Parts: sequence; structure tokens; C-alpha cells
Amino acid sequence: MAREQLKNLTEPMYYILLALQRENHGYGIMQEIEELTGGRVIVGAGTLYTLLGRFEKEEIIEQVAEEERRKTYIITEKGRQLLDEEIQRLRMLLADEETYRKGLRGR
Amino acid sequence: MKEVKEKARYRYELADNLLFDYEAVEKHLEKMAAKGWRIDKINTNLWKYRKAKPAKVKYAVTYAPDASVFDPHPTMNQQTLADFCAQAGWVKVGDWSQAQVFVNERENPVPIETDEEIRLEVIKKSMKKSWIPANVMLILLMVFNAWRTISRFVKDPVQDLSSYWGLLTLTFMIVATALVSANLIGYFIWFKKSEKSVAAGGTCTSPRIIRLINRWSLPAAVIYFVAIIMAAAGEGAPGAAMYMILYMAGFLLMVTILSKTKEYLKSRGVSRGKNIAVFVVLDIIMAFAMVSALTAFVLSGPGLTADKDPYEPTVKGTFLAERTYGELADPEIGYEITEIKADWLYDWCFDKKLNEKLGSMQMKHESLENPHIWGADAIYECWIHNRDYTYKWILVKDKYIVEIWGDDEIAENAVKGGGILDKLGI
Repeated sequence: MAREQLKNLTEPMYYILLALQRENHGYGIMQEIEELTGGRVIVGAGTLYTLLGRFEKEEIIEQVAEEERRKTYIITEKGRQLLDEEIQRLRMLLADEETYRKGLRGR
Repeated sequence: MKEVKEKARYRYELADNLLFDYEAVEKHLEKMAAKGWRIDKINTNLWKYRKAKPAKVKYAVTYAPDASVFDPHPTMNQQTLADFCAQAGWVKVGDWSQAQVFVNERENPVPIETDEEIRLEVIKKSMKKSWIPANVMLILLMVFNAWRTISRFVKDPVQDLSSYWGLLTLTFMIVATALVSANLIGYFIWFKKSEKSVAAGGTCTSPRIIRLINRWSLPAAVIYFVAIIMAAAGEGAPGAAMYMILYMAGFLLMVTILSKTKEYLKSRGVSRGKNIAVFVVLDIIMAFAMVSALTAFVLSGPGLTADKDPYEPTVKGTFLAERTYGELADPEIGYEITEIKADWLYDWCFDKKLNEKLGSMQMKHESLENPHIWGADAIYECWIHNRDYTYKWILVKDKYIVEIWGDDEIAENAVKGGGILDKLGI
């Protein structure tokens, strides 16, 4: 089920992977997402915990360190590929919208 | 004095929350905190609160699917979850089963769960772990007991219809089975509704109806239980009433010992597997001991029903039916007079009496011609194996069904000699 769901990333999933392009820990991820989106996207601790667990199981991210029970994660090659595909998909959506608008103007 | 202070500082509540109903727990704990009672310790059956300054704080319940009430320490996953939450200001205050309870003193904190789809998925995993299997087991047990009670009722309906003890026991078994089943069905309905709501971009729904049913189940069961005991005592069965009280006391004692043993083993760091093994073995031993003790009570005690002069008629009745039974000295026969007060039940009850089954053996009958000669509307001779040995006679007069049994010749003479109905006051 998880693999199926990961075909399309939800907003929290997308931003978590974005925040893990460099080593980051739980609270750091939450803060970075909030800052990056200006508070539009907020990921709660429980949601983050579940998603990180799922990502780790799917080998999309990996744990790189644990200091005083603070776990640090980073995106894997597989995760990077997934993220790139998602970015590509989003760009295509925007491009399609652009094409459509131009088409309307040309009529 | 110290004890009084101690008492005033703490307060206890019976835990009656459904494991998946996080919303009810969160709201209740927030209400208690606003009144100056903070949750201090969460046990499966009892929640302890301590007196504190009234405060507006936020509580949140989330779930760790791999957690168990038998774990001596939080699992690695529980710990990681608690650490994540702690960093966001959520402090863990306790857990029961897979539910993890947190409090946050900050104003407008970021909720622990911000994705309803994930919340629902985690609850589903958690419920599958122990709540659903435990409820299925309980339902099977209740259905088995209800089936036994209903079978007995269907075989001889007048017995229960003419006794408030019987009626209450019968309805209790049915209602209790329905209530226990309602919890599980309620969960699946709540899950389906929430799934639909979340798919449409909404939040998980409130299980309002099942929450209400669950909240009133325990008080209703206690009232029912007391009513059954009072009915048994009132219907000349003080031994049965005592049996039920001892049964309930034994059950509560068992639950307490099991709970205390589990907590003690946890405090000693005993692993989940060993704790479960001890729990199961202790449970079986205690259940066996309790059944043995109660059997000994029945065998050696005063008996379930009080001894009574058999020649003194016993009358039992409800608004549905009434039974009068006993023995006569002259002629030497046993009798039972049934009056079905509810007309709509008459045919069914009469049919059950006429087509009685003794174990796997079917009673046979034949009606006597011209019953009016002997003062009855109908007379049936009933036997089991062969007609040479009459099992009983059934006489019908107006709304009364009269059964007569005894020595073959005496019983037959009593019926055919006439006047027996007059003698029985019919």
C-alpha cells in the first residue's frame, strides 16, 4: 500500500523529502517546512514520525546518526529520484497550464 | 488527616473510553485540566488525576501500533514518537494499549497529527493489533452464552416468562451481547465514515452514537445485575443470588490480581512475551479455581433455591405469564398450572408444552375425546418411550394449562376421576 501511495507525493511528503536533501532531524524538518512555506504547510510530530517510518521502510530516506536519542536522516538515491520525478510532474502541470492559457489567448 | 489530604489531592475515574475515540479523551482531559485535575497515571481500567491549578492546556492522543500494555519500557518507536513530540512541546503523560497521550502547555501548539489520512491509517493498524481481536473473542464468548440462554428459553419459554429473574437474565444476555457487538460494529462504521470524510478532504468523524452507547453500557450493566440479584432473591432463590454476587466478586478479584501482576512484572522489567505468558497462565489457573470454588459452594451450600414444603404451592409470575406448582397429598401427584397473560404468546407456549423435548427425545401426545366429561376443554396424554408409561397429562381449561404427573395409575385416576381441576382451584 505504501509503495502505491508514494507514486504521488502528498504535500507533507514532498516537503519532508525536500527538507532531507541535507541531514536533518525531526524537529528541524518540522521547522524548515514551516519556514519554507511561510506557515502554509505544517507537519505535526505524529504525522512526521509515521511518514519518516514509512520512508525509511521504503528506503527513500536513511538514518545517518543518533545523538542523545535524536535521530538524523537524509534522503537516499531512490528518494532523490522519486523527488525529481515529482518535481518533473509538478513542472509539467505548470507547463500544461501555461500552454492552455496561451491557447486561450490565441483564439 | 494526611489520608484526607491525600484523598483530596487525587481523584480516580473508571476508564470507559473507546480506544479509537481520541477526540473524546482529548476533550475530557482538557475539561478536567480546566477544572484543576491533571491526568497523573493512565491504567487500562482506572485513570488517576492529581489536583493542580486550573489551566487551559491542549491534550492530544496519537497511536503507536507496535506498543503493548505488557511492555516494561516504551518501545523504540514509542520513544522516537515521544521524542519528536517533545521537540514540538508535547509532553507524554501516559499510554494505554497503543494510544499515547500528550499534553502541551503552549498556546496554539502545532497538532501532533496534521494529516488525517495518516491518522486514520495509524489508528487502523493499532486497532488491528489487540483491540479488534480482543473484541471478537469477547463477542464470541457472549454469543455462546446468549445462545445457551436463548436455547433454554426456546425449549421452555414459560419458565423465563413467568419469572422476573428469568426474564432479566434472558434480556441481559441479549442486550449485553448487542452492546459488546455494537462497540466493534461502531468502530467499523466510524472507520468507513472517517475514510469517506478524509477522502473528501475532511477530518475523521466523531463516533457520537457509539460513544454514548459505550458510556452508558457499564452503569446499565450494573443496574441490570443488581436487578437480577434482587429478582432471584425475591423469587425464593437466595442461593442463586449469592452465587451471582460471589461470581461477580471473584471476577473483579481476578481482574485486579491480573492487572496488579502485570504492572508488577512491568516494573521489574520483565519482557512483553514473559508477561503475556504469566498473564495467560494465571488467568487460566484463577478461572479454574473460581469455577471450582463456585461449584463447591453450589454443592455444599444452601442450594440455589430455598427448601420449601412441596405441598405448599409455589407461585411465580410476571406481566406475561404465571406458574403455580407443587404437589398434592391426595391424590399423590405433582402439578403445574400455567396462565399465559399475554394472548399473543399463548399458542407458542402451549405448543412448547405439548411438544416438549427431553434431551434428544421427543415427547409424544394424544388428545382424549370428550374432555368436557372430566371438566376440561382439552386433555392430552403425553409419553416419551411407549404409551404404557405416561410422562404427564396436560389439561386445558379456559386460559389455564395444567400439567399433572405422578404414578401412572394415580395420575390417570386423578385426571379421569374428575374434580382435579376444582381441587387445583380452576
